[in-house]
Amino acid sequence: MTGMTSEMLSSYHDRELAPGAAAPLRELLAEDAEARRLLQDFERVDEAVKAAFDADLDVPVPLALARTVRSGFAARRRRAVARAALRWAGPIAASIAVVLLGHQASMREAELALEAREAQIAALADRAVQDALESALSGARIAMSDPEVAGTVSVTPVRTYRSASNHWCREFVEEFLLDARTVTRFGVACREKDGGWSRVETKQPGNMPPPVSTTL
Amino acid sequence: MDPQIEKEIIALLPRLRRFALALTRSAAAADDLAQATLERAIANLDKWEPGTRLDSWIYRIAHNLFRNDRRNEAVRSAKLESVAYEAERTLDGERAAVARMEYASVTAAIAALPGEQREALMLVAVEGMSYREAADVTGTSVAAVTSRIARAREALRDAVKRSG
Repeated sequence: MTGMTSEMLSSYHDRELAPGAAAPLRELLAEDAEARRLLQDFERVDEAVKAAFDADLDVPVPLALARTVRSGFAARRRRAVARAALRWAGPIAASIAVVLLGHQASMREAELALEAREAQIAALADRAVQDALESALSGARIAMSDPEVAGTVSVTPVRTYRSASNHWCREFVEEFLLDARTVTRFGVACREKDGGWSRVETKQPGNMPPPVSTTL
Repeated sequence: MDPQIEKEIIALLPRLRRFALALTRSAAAADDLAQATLERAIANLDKWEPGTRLDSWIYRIAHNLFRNDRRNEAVRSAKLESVAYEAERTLDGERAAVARMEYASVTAAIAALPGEQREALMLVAVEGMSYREAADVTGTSVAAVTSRIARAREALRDAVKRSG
């Protein structure tokens, strides 16, 4: 190879050479069989590297990673709601029962109260979901209540299937009866290797899929 | 905007995990790194500039976490790591087995590359980034990326030839 280095050829292969440098290199290449062979080898290396790395994409992604994203964004939304409620104390805040107890001195305290109540409700919902998905047939309803939360959560599995990532998953409807109001959500949970069910999706009213037939 | 970003991050998970695997060369360490990266990214999402590549931004977080972690950690046996890397590749059965036969020596050669060369080559040849983008992710210069990629390709040349 004369007048060029393997580094130049590698950059040329990636179209990273300066425009002025590529044309002279092409001329040199036309006369240099050894350099052409090296360039070809680089192309084969890239193909092999792509194939090797693409095999990694076939390994299922742990559900815990997806859950981290979901819960991270849910926490962001909760914080945004808490901030908005405190900023416009009035009709908007009135609809968020937990925040407006009146005696919370700071936004941080209000956030903590909201998070504490939500955590209790979430724990109750999680117990109901685990129980229903583990023991209830699709269409059967399992209800659980907790005097501390002063509410009831009922869960009805609606469909069971094998996911693309090869996990067993169940869709379900969960109903919350809290403060004399009913909220219905739609969820999907998949079975983890350790046997528990991990929620991978939750849809709010207005964003829910059409009802699914409960006969499989 | 949040729901759209959330979807993009979910869709990025397999590639983020692959990048973490290229850095750590062990499945368990890759999962931990991906986990820490996601937590950091979501907590700092307001620092991401809309209009720039979200994947590059998240990869840069992973790169920095890995380098910081590395600094605090005793150096583990390279041999053990490379064994774990091989085991990871066999998990998904037939396709991986076929790929392994074809590229066995290539895979071993990739695993044996110095980490910064493997990382640069992966970002450019597999993820399709420009040298500039790869330099930004890895906190280095375009010249360093240029040289790392050329050296990585030279090192893999013989392995590719042997695999026919």
